[in-house]
Amino acid sequence: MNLTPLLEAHWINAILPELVLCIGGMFLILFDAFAPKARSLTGPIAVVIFILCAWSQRFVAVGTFFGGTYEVGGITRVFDITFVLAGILCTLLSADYLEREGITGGEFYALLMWGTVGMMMMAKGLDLLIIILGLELLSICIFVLLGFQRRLPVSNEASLKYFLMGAFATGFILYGTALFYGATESTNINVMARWFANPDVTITPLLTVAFVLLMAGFGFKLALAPFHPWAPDVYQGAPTPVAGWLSVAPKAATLIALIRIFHAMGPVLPQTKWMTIVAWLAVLSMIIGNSVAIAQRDLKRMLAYSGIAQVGYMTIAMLTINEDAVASIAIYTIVYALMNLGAFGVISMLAKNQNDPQTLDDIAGLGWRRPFHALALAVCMFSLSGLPPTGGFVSKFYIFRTAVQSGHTGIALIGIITSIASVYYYLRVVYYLYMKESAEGQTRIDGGIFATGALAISIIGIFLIGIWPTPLFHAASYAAHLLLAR
Amino acid sequence: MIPTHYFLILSAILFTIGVCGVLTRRNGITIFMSIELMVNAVNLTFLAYARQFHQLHGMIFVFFVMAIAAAEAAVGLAIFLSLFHHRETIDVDEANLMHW
Repeated sequence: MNLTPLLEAHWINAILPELVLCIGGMFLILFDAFAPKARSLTGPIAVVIFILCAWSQRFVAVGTFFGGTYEVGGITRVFDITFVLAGILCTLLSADYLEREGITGGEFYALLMWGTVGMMMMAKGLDLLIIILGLELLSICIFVLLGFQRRLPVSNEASLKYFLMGAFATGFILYGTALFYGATESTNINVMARWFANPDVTITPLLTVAFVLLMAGFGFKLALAPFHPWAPDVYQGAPTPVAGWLSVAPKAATLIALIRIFHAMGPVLPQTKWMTIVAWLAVLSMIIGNSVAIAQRDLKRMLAYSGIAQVGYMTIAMLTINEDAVASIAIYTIVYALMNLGAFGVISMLAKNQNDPQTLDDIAGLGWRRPFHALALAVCMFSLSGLPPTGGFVSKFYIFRTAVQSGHTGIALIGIITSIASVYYYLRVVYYLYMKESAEGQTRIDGGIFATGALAISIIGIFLIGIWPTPLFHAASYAAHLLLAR
Repeated sequence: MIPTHYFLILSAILFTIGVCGVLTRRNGITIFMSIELMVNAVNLTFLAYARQFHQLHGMIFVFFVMAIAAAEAAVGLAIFLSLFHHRETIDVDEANLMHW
């Protein structure tokens, strides 16, 4: 390994967004320690730091850095925007949530920022080492964020479950990486791609084992069935804005890392059954996610199972890596961030801590008491179920079209059928919002100015992408083209 | 020189012992120790390959893996401590507030 490239020019421009978030997180912790009276300002400052990070994208140098281990390009910019968007929405929702729950501490936002840095490393890593380091940075921040309400037993339990399962999954990812290293003599994805492109390469059973181990680990991080059982428990126990963030951003980061790995393996995939394994994971996720979600009355558990199904849809597009597949996944993650964080946002405003389940009964009749919040939840549900003219429709259509064009018609058909079944449980929420009488002693909705702003961003984003998707599609397709053109 | 596959078989056995430990043990700390065993089996695999290829790359990977494991242990033990505060036990079967 040549270490002199560490001193190459422009390296600071390559990691500018990450630097902004790292320093911003440290600043927030110090600010919290030295100005305890101005604690209520930590939330707004966190939003400003996230916006600074998005703005710093303008100065980012494009290319490969740090000895060929870090690639910055169009697609990483699209995913960076997704991560920052999820971070901003989560910060806005948390600002009100934390105040209501009586949690203080600038480290909450700092952990959110460092987790975002981890995701950016996963998206840009051109070496399995960088991807794993990013994944661990993200995971460790999530462990702490999940258990942030340490006085609540459920929060602690969510953290424990994610920690044990997450560390277990990391072990699988590491062993898979080690076995790939043994075959390809490198962990650099470009070097691995050259090895896989060699026509004489034979796929030994050991490599298949390595792939299965890798998929088991990443499947856990994505909450793909059958590695999903942690998801409902963790989402239910976690602070609600964190659950929303967890259901969106880490999945996007894992998907882009998997896209890079699958693209490198491209030449050998036709002679292996590897993609059949991935296809089975997708099918199982769609069927289990959508059918179990119907039985859920707890809103967060329902969204957890719906998230399992949604990741199943995104995995369909990954079965063949081409420009459309990458672009459709990028768009789906952006829309998914808007609609899922919006839905979790409304749930986070229910004046109830997560020790008690937040069920459908809590939102009965909300449409007449709090029209704006009910409207936000209804729009998110329409978008999640994929009804026009929302962004959910456009992105889901693009995913299924990509799958059919790549010749995965059967799997796309399963996706469409399960997605139609999913309309039942999404619209049941809307039914409770508008058609049910609210009972006595109703759960209040406490929406502060920040959380309401987050909902407004979600609604505007969902409709903007739903009605006028062309600019986003062009940007994503161009970025995907640059990624795959190597 | 000892052939590489001796090391690989040993690390595969260690990894399997680790997985079995995670799946069968119910004490939180023991589960975590089994996970550490899995990670150390991975380190052995990396070192064996790095020796075979005469590369530094695999050895550097091992340093990072050790750092990751240490960071995970720090957070993990804090989580177990917090669990002990609530339940007076670190038996993971007792952590069953949530069911579907």
